[in-house]
Amino acid sequence: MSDLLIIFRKPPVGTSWAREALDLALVGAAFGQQASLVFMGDGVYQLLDNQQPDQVEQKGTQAMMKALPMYDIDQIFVSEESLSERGLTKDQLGFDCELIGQTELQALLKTHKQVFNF
Amino acid sequence: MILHTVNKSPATSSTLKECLFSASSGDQILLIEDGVYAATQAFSELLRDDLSYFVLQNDMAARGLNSSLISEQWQPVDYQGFVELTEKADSVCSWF
Amino acid sequence: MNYSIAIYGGPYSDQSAHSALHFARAVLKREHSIQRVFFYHDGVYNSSALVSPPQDEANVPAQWQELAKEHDIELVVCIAAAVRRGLLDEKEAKRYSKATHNLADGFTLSGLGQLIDAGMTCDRLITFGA
Repeated sequence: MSDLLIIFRKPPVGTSWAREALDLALVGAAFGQQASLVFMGDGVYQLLDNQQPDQVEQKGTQAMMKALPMYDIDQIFVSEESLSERGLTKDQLGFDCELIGQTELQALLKTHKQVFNF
Repeated sequence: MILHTVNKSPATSSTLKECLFSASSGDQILLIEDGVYAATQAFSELLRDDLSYFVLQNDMAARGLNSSLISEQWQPVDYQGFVELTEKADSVCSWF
Repeated sequence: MNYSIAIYGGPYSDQSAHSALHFARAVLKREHSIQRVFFYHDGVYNSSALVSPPQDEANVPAQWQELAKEHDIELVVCIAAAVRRGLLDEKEAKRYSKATHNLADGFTLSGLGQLIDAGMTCDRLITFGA
């Protein structure tokens, strides 16, 4: 089991939350802490393909997301309910991640002592 | 047992909904700041019956919410009570 | 118990730093210790030496300084979040060729690793989000 659970609930471009949460995941990994990431709520929008944040002079999160394997961050989960509430399916996402339901989500929170929730 | 804090009004933000969805049976919810509006009668139907519910009374008083406006599931606590809840919980998860 | 606190909101725009101050005082009153307060996201604005509120409003950085001094608490500001928002200590001001610096006394710029470390080493890490 990983040491850190980082929950992403904010969309990728309009604020710096998503980037600053990803920074925390990468720094955690640099500190030798294995991180698991959960995308839920509006955080699932971070996983959409073909984002062009440079159109609005933003960096977005896609480049950082692509760097995750280099930091050995491969436990990436997305809430099935959050996706379906937003009319999205897994095949519309640009990243390989595991669909989880409510029970798995609750178990992830329960089993991690360190949860960072953005 | 996890203590979850929520600081956003349930009428403008999905924060409380996401917290309630993620909490496990036996967890505790504490409303702070604008989260305290969730303790009013209008939102009592959102609540699950397998969690315990607390509301920070300083934030209630600051917003003119007295006990007649609060539904009965919610137990008011002060800042010392907030600290006591964090002592007893295995971990604290902040929803904002 | 040993606590640390994370603050993500700026003073005078939302309540989080004020809630955290109340909470910190209650933690100390219950005879716990506070190792570190970590300022991230807009929370870094709590560390400005130039904060000048009207007389009837609390000076938030001053209150943190006072509490930290009295109870030996580290006030750590995320360097990456701070520098891009214009909160610089003398060293960073030099590095970026700025004429002046504005990080209040008692606050230290450091890496995000200090937040990870607080989560790993303290009994409780309590976050006040914005």
